[in-house]
Amino acid sequence: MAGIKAIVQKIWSYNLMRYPVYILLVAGAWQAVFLSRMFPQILFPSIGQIMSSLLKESMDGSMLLKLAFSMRLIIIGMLVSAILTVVLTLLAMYSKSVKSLISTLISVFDPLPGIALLPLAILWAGIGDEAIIFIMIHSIIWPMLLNIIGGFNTVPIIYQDVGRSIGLKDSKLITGVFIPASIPSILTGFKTGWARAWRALISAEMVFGATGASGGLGWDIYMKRSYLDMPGMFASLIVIMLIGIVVEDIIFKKIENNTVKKWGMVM
Amino acid sequence: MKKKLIIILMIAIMGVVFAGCSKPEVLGTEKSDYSDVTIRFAQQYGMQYAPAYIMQRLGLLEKRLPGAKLEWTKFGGGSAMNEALISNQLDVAFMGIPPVLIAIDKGVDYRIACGICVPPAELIVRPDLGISSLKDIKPENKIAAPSIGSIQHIMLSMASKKILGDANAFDKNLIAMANPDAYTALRSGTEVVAHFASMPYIDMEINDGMKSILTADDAGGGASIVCVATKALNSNTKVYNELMAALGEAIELINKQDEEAVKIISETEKISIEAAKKYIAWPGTKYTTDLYRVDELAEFMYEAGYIKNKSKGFDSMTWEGAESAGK
Repeated sequence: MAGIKAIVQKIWSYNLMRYPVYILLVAGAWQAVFLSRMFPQILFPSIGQIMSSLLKESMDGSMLLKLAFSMRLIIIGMLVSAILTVVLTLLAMYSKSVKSLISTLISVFDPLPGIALLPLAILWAGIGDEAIIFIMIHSIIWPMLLNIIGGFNTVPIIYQDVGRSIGLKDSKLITGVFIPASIPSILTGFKTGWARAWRALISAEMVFGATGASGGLGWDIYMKRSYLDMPGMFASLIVIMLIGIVVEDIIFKKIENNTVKKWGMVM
Repeated sequence: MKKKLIIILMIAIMGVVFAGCSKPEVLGTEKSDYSDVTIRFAQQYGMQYAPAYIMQRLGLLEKRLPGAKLEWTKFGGGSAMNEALISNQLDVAFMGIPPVLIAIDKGVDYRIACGICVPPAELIVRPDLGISSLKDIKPENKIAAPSIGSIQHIMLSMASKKILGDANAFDKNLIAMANPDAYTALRSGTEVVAHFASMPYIDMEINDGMKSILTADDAGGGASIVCVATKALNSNTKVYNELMAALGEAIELINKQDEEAVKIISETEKISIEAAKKYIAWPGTKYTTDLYRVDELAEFMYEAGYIKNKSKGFDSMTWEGAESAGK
């Protein structure tokens, strides 16, 4: 008996095992609301309608195409932002005035939603992928910088002194002390950036419309909404949530386990 | 821990459920005091909605229904209006025909009450690329229209069927952009080479040296912006009839270029009095309660696959008393 309990607890301790239970609970509540006819059923479709729409689009490959389109933009946005963040962080490390300039920029730009910059994006980057990437970079880079520079700032002096006393200098000091010591902040920066990238992408696509032959998930949601295809719209939202779960619980978890957890920085 | 999570989840779901509950409005019965009547209106931006906002500003309906509470909101487009109508947040809305047909196709039970305006619609292109017809638009060029399933989108589709024999020829060129964004994009040399514009953007773009290569006539003629009313509002005959009369009065004022009406248009659209007069008389513009092209649009949208069910005719899309302008 105790053995079974332990096994159940062990399984329960994995996020991926817990999700199905949560999902079933939410789906059950959703279906109950649908059946209660509390909301017009055109706007609040049943789980069955949503799932069959999801299944249909997954089978004919159209969902995969839209997902690939969006993922490509997200990856470009994340990569460019990461490179810019590294460069700006290094500059901030070397010069106090650059650091204060960057923190001013962060406080000025971070609260601005990317969509508010739309007219500028159109003016400078046109209306293609570039404009969406421009808006995405704006959304990703400020929280990323904030976390990473913040992380570097809070590296205890004693670590830095240890680094210096074993002969580390300049770039060696950064790679040997600052980066490992601020991995938790760097990870938070990337996680926040990732979430912001999705938000920016979806809202930019909903404003811009299709930019390529097909368009991504944001455009898809916009189209389905225009045609009152609510099951399809919720199906696309589910896909975005699934991507979130996969990235958070598989990719970021793995990085965390191999770095901060392994090194005993967090429990 | 897990119990806590489940409780939080439940609370969140309940929150969503209750937040959406809305009290259904009560429409009063016939009498001389209408203080128990609330009518919730929604209109959009642009001169084609002038009959609605002139009726609002001059209190033409209040005059007829003393004491009635009229609530006005502005929406950015037909799809949000559809959602609001379906969730019983609105009684009357002013919009283009295509979103109405999309909703009726899905089984929504509101109907068209009357037309308010046939606005001009023109495809404006950049002058430097030698585009003189739809045929010159290349796959990499973009055509901006206010939204998907908007009258501009459907008109582009109708024109492309007429000229190129394929209704969906430009589906991949289409980009949904609000009028001001499209104006910026067209002027700043982006991939946007054409804009299916409405007033006053048509005039502004032409004044900037852009060219008009297509009008609503090339798509078979202009289509109405319509007033839709819910079943509940329609069943209150007195209120419904007064609404129709008030809209009719507003339209009459616009057509005779009544000083006050023109002034309201110029203030609302932030244009000069002269421009307001010029736009009222712009070729292709008609302010009328007659409905233009409801049947043709229903047929076209069915054939091109925008709606699933074949229309059961004019009477299935409109309330009794709505008048078609014929062809």
